[in-house]
Amino acid sequence: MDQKELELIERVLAGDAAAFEPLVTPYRGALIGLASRIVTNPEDAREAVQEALLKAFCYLKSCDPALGFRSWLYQIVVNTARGYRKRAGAELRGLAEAVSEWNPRTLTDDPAAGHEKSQAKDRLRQCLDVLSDREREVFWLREIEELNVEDTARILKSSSISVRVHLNRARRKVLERFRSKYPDLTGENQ
Amino acid sequence: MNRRDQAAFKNARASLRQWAGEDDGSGWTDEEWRRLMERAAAQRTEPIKTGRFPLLRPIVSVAAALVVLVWAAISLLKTRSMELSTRNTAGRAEIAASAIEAFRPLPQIVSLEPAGRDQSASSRPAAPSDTRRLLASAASLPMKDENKPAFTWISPETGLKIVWFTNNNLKLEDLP
Repeated sequence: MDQKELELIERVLAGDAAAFEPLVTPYRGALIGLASRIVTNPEDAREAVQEALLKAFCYLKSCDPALGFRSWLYQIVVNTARGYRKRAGAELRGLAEAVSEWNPRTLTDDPAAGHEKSQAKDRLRQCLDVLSDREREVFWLREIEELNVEDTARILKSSSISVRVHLNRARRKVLERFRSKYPDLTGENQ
Repeated sequence: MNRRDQAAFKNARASLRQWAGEDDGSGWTDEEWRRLMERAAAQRTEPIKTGRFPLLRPIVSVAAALVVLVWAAISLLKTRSMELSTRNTAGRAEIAASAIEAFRPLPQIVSLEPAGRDQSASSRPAAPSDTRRLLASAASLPMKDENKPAFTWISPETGLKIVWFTNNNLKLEDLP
């Protein structure tokens, strides 16, 4: 575990609640990104991350130094987001996607930046939609968050072999999707 | 994946990472984040509740499950034995009812005299007073005589028992 993180954890556990913010803020974007890959509805993703952060603060004493704070936090987010996904149900997924297309904040803040964000989100969704839930989780943690196989397996409460199998399958699927949707981005046409 | 695929995938992954970075943190404003941190900090930190004796927990669970199973088995056996006893009582009542039915006096009592002695008399119904007299005299008979052969007839319908005493020549004897 990072020395700075260890100090911050000790401060929080000693009663300095203000130390929690610098502890989790570096993962702010990653947490919502991870939750968004598990639940497709952005509101559910926000709720899941909120709940996960409250749990993280509450149970900080049980953080395993061997696992590392980042992996421990990701594990809480994955578990909480999975609960939301289960509750939302497969039949609501289509509706959630339709809702997530419309993001009022991107229109009000900065139209140009909002458009770019929305485009990036759409592209990500298009590429990752071909994956199953488990494949998406594995792919995101391994390829985007750049965690190693063992940590990914621990976070997803799975075996390393299972992670490798899902990862290989996910890579093939994503590559196929890139070749059909964005052939220029694979560098094969140059 | 061959080399060509791996190279293509690396390029694709770079694009994905770039898009993930652009999408980073969407849905959170600084104000919302600050409020969330305040909400989290308002809680108390506590360890996950594992109990005072975490190793004992599975043992206690197994013991509790066993107690429940034993209790269920005992109550099942009790219920079955109660059912059986109820059934036996009902059976006994049925037998008693049929016995009462069997011992109910017949509307016509045939002559108690042996057949062949007086054909006309055996076919005609005997008067109740005659029956009583016959039974009384039968009761006064010596119950067992080793030297004299006797024939006993028991009615399967009424349970009426008739004993014929004969002499050594197997001829019916008259009542004393």
